[in-house]
Amino acid sequence: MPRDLSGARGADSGAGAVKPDELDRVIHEPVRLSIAAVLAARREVDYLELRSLLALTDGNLAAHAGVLERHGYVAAEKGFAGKRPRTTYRLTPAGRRAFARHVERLRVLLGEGERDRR
Amino acid sequence: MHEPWLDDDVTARPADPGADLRTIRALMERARSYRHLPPAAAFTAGALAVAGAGATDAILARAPIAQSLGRLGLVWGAVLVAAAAGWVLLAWRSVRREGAPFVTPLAIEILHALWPPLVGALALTAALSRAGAAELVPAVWMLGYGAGAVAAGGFARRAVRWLGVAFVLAGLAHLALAPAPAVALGATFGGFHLVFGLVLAVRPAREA
Repeated sequence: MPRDLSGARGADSGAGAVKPDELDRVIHEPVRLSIAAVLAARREVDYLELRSLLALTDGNLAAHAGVLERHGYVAAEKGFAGKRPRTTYRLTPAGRRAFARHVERLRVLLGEGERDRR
Repeated sequence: MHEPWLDDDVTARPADPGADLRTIRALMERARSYRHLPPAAAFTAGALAVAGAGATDAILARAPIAQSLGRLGLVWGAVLVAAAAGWVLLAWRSVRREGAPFVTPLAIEILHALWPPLVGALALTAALSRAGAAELVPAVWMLGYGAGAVAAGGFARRAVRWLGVAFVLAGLAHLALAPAPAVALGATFGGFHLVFGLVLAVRPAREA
């Protein structure tokens, strides 16, 4: 079972406290959000599997994973599987916190949107 | 630090929290689901089991089950090894087509879900045979295989879990009704896998 998103409460979340422009800009981008979601569900994911899961090109994946890595959200580990080079990605603790906070903010925004419509 | 990605594509994207949360949930589910279940592997396993059931019928026509344990063990051991080899080969081909690695943490979790009930069934087979209760062995394998499939189903598409449930129910029914072993083995290990292969073939998109 995937982690329950309802349990992902950020430290600074709170109903009525979130505006759309306060979303984490690093994670909010769709490709990076997808990468973070996959990594949040698994301990680590191989580069090729991540590319296949998200149907990304090499350049797209490398660029966006690189942004997440530079911001300390993702750690990349390079090694070998037999003679073939292999890169695996995982979310760092900071990345997990940022993802949980982002999900919580989305949930708060969604709740506010639904309240506005009522 | 300047990140051109942030300037170009983020500020322009309005927040759509509902869509984002749906995407996140779908991706997390997909990431936790093993996707390389080729229908051909299920058909192969089913066909091998039907052949095994035919051989079982022929063996039991000559001698009672208590005196046929060695031959039955050889037949079903061969079926198990050939079916497992078929799964590995066809799954490997499916994985390689995507360029993804074959051995992943997810695949290892599936193996860890499968092996305890199968080893348990093997141990019980030996114990029941020694105790003169060999007629219970087919039910033990249905229950063991079913338990493994239910456990592995937590890391794969829902059909795997339903396959496991079907095997567990069949095992319980076998204990209660004690049907002919060849018929029971053919209907479950043969029939269930053929139906499972059909489900994989007809609804492949739900897997991804």
